[in-house]
Amino acid sequence: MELLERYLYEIGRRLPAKQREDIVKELRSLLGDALDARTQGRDATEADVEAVLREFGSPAEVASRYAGERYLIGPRMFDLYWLVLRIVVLCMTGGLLIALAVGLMTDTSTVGGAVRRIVEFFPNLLTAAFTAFGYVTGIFFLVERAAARKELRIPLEKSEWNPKDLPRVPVREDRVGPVGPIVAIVFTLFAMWLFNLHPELVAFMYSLNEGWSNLVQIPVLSTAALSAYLPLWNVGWIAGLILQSFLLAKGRWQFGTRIAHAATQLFSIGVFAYMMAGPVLFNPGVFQNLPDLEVLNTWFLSSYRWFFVFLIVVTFIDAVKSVVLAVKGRVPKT
Amino acid sequence: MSENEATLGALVSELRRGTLVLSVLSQLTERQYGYSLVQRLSEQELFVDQSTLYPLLRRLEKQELLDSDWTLEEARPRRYYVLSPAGRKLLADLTNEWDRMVEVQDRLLGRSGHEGKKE
Repeated sequence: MELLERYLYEIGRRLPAKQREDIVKELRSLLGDALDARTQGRDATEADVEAVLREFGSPAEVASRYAGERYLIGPRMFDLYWLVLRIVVLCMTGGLLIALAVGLMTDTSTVGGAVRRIVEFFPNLLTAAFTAFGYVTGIFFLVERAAARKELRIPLEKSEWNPKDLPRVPVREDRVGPVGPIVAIVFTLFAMWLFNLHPELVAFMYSLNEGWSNLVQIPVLSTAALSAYLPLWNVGWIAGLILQSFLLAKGRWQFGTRIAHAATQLFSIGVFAYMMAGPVLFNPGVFQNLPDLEVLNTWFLSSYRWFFVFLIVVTFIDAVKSVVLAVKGRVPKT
Repeated sequence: MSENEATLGALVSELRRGTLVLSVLSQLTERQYGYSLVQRLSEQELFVDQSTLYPLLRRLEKQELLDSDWTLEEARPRRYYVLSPAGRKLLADLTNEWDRMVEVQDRLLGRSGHEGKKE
């Protein structure tokens, strides 16, 4: 009988604590019945017990039958999990790359420091990726458990759907992969962080003597101009973030997003026009303090306004293209 | 050849898995404990793995299709299972579905009816 108890203990160990006692009690009774049926009244030998247990199956197998199918993350949530995981890891890689670039640009004190940053980047990326993976998986696991316990039935599909509502297969120019929007979102967030919180990082690093010491940091942006333009930029960036999130979710350009894109481009044109007429964005002293760069200074001043003309033209073409594609998408194909 | 047999085995066990609940419910109009149910089923030539059947009984009880209680008077404490009212209703409905399925399959297999069982 000792063998039987060893067997039951091994099963119980693998069962959820709440049901353990009850299941083990029932199994003890059932195994006793099976043993009786085998011995037909004579005393049970070790061999009898062994045979009954062998027929019953290994503890792990029996316990797994009681537990039913168990998932870390079930099929209901796997698609969402996978999408979130990809976005998080991509965003994190982008963020770390930007941080590396910023680090390399701002801290140029020693060559060794730069090399160290690059060498350390890869283990850091790996650690961060595993951490992000762990957090995302952990959170989804908790949601899965909560959903299973409360018998919350999150339906795989929406309860009712109409095949006629299925969107048309997007033509080639309407397709949007996940990478484009994610990259756009990462860079927009980075720009918002940089220009709103750390505009001083946008600066020329200039070394007065040979070597990397005595670094002079000359801010590139004029504070007055920046404070005039930044609110407008923020509006544009936020609109861009919303638009890119939509594109990421839908995976395609649609009439609404095309028109919204054209509208943000028109807004950008307005901002560019304002910037062309308004105060110069760059610090007036930026090139004057750099004796080697006087040529650059004259070139810069003469081309500054033309640069905006160029931007406006390019943006306008893009906006028109967007409207044309939006209208074209509306016209049914014959 | 053995690959064919393996495919057949997998399909047969899938069919059996599908009908197992109906088989079990059909035998539980009277109280049964686990081992007596296994015996009853094997007397009718339905051989079910014990480690499959016992967890199934608990699941059906959790779904409130079976009622259970422990009996202490016998040689050892035993848990008896019996159809609950909901289980009886389900057994009737499931039996109807089964009849319809058999009918349809017979038709598909080119048999005129239940009695037209050819070799």
